Amino acid sequence: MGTQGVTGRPPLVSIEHVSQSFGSVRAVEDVSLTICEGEFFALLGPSGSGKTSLMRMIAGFGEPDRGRILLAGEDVTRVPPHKRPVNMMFQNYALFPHLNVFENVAFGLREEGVPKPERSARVDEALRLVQMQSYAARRTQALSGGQKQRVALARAIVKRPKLLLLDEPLAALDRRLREETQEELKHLQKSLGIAFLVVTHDQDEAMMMADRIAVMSAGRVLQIGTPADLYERPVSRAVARFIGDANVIEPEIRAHLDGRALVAVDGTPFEIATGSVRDFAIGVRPEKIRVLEPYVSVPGSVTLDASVEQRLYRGDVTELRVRTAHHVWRAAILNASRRTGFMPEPGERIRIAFAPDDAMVLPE
Amino acid sequence: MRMSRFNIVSLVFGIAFLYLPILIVMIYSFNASKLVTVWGGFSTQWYRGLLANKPLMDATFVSLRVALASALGATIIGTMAALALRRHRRFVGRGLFAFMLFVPLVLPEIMTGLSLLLLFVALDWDRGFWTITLAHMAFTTSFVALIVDARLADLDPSYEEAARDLGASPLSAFMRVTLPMILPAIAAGCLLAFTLSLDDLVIASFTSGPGATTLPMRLYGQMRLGVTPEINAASTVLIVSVTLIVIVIAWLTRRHRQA
Ligand SMILES: Nc1ncnc2c1ncn2[C@@H]1O[C@H](COP(=O)(O)OP(=O)(O)O)[C@@H](O)[C@H]1O
Ligand SMILES: [Mg+2]
Repeated sequence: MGTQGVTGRPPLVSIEHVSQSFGSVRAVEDVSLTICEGEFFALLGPSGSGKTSLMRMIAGFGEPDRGRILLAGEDVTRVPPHKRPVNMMFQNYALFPHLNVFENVAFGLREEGVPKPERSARVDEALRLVQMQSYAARRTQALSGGQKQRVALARAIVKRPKLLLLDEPLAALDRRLREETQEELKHLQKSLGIAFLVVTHDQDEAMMMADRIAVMSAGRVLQIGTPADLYERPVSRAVARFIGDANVIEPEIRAHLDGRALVAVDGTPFEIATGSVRDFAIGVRPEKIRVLEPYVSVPGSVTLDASVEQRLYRGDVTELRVRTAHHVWRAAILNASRRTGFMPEPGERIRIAFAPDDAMVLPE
Repeated sequence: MRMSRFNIVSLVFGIAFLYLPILIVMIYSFNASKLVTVWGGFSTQWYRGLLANKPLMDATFVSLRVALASALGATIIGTMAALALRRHRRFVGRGLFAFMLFVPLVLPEIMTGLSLLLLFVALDWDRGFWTITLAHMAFTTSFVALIVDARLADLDPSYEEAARDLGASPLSAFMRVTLPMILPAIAAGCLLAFTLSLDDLVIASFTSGPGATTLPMRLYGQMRLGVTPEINAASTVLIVSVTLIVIVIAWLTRRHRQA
């Protein structure tokens, strides 16, 4: 699995060791990544992690201090924005207030010198793709947030760029609309065959839409991979915590042998596969932790005595905060199994168990 | 919010102090009596008299031509200065340039007038229409620059970036996006320059010559021979025109809701 659906496609954008500073702020630090043709790629990271700065450099706004940006094999590092075959949808949409919907979408085609009849036909088609064809003559100020977002999208795709850049495209929409729009964007991207680069701080959004995700923090890329890669095989404590929930535990490392390590948590020993990694933490997803009545044990699992500190009802799951000898854990019990399963009260003594295979090795 | 009695009284007195004299001028411009201080019934004879008063009409045309020419010049130069200040955050002498651009806003008019007079004398230029026009441009340019600069300051740069991203060259992005968006501010600056020129007395007095007498200069000259109801009528016309222009300026510079 891994990079399935991406390998084999030619690279479209190559970012090579790019850095950018604003005064003393290092916004982007030595970032390298490749986006392939037709790929849906997401830059995911907390606010201030350098996502927008990196995206703006790809569009041509702000030059890197170091490194190169290649577009379809050509070095565009110093090419001005109006000569790059990429288009960007701005975070605030930046629809021109003095032009109506049609004129906004036609703006780029007029700049290109597309003759009028063809221009008209292409604008109509783009507006139809985003279901805004009946709004062509409207002023943009009168549109709702969702409608503005669609017009901004039409204005960017009408130019048929090789790469479409979208900066937090859904951040201004309310929750219901955001989920609908995620699916539409994904669908649109597949049907147009244009590569999309989306900036987002919302991990669910990135996981749902993207073929591959680059997780950023403090200007650096922590890990690049498919959503499944990042969730199941995070390489660092930070990625494990940022993508989904994880109990990150520093185990006692007792011995290394043939790519495996003998470790102990709260004095309970077990073996895990580590490859060549020698120093690491382990991460266990809350849903991989089984909550058991005291004195029950599961053969082949790591079983620890614990007490319940807190119980939080979250709709689909109930989350337990439990304490073992030296650690605090979060465990999730699926509420669908509630009637048959065990549901302890706060203060109750219990046991928790997880399979050694579910302990993810986090080298960084 | 409730106002205390003290505040209400202050407000009434303040407004009365500002507008009562103007109101009296306007009321007496419709006075049938020739005596300025005695009400003799309603009449519009003084307004008809204005049209027949050749020197006054000539002065009005001089004023309008000076105002038009100086406002156009001030608008072009003031807009370019504001753009240079906003666009190029760093150039040698930027601070000094900004300072020098805005000093005329607070410089006493008599200083501006006197220094320009000395300049024109030194250059040995014949004083008249063009010297007044240049003098008015010199002080109204700052006002245009101030208004356009304020608009540029709250113009989101992403509009122009979006234009660049859609394939527009820097010039094209400016012409098709930035200029239309700041046009109301430029128009407001132009109208302000026009009104400032129209009712300037001090600078015009210093820089005019024979044959180029502006309306305020003519009114002031006539007034020294005694206030007539005709002056009230001319003042009323001037006040009403300026008020209308100021209302248009306020409408043009109302805060734009940005998308
Ligand atoms: N034009 C700028 N001037 C100064 N600092 C900037 C500028 N743009 C971004 N930064 C700084 O660079 C860092 C990264 O910002 P940004 O790329 O916007 O992050 P993100 O999009 O991930 O929130 C932040 O600390 C931000 O304050
Ligand atoms: Mg951002």
